[in-house]
Amino acid sequence: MSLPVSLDAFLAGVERRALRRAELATRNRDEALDLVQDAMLRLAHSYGGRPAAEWPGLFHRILVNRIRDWHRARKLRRRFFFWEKDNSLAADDARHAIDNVADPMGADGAEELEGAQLAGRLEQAMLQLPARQRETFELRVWEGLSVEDTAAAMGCSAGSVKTHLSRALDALRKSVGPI
Amino acid sequence: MSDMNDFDDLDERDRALARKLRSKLRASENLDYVTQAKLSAARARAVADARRPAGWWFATGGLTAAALLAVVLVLRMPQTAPPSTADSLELMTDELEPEFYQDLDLYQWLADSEADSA
Repeated sequence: MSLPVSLDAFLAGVERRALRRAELATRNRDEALDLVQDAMLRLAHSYGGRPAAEWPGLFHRILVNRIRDWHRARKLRRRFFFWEKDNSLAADDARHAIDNVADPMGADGAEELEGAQLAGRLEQAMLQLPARQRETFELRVWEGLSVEDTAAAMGCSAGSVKTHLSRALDALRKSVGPI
Repeated sequence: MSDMNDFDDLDERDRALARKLRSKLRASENLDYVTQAKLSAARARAVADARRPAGWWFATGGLTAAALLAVVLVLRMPQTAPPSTADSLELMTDELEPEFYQDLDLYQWLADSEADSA
């Protein structure tokens, strides 16, 4: 990855993927937007003056921590407000239903539908992964970070990254099916 | 920070799978215009925040804290009803000495006692 010339360019390059990752973790677009915005602000406010080479690692670490905090808060909330319905899942299902409809204006509706179904299967399979395995897979495969950068972002050793990734790929191979 | 790393630490089978999955995931990153606009706005806020001078947050925080303290102090001040304009005018224009008003209770008691005895 070539180094970004400005903070704006760096954030523009990572924001979409960051949102998709946060959305996959929260299963709610608005919550995901909040998390990504929070991570952007934190990076800009606390580390904007750091060398640009450090931004990717810092940003991913902030985002990983924000998503973990979100899960902890949600778990706590569900413990105290157990009678409340979890609306994020319903919203997510509705979004997937729309996403899985082929675009009639698309060049090849069947191919597009097949791609959307595969993406849906992959997302469902990723949701079944244990949190650390999913984080490792997202950072290492989706983001394209090195083993060392992934370990730094997750706050674990390089050996743990390799183990988590190997298990994640094994699980995904079984659950996603042929690609 | 290597983006297109070759997954050198993986065996051939895992490497091929990782590359395919990355390709599929990256193909799913398209966003609708509204969401993209929200992301752009969030990015603009973050970049603007980074450009602010270092002491900006302290100055803003200090001013906010001072304003809050002032509001709290005003709200917690004892509320005494001001004398009405008519009462004030009567005090200034009547011919009684000011000391009279210091013993109002006594005069009220005397008046009540006289009324009872009558």
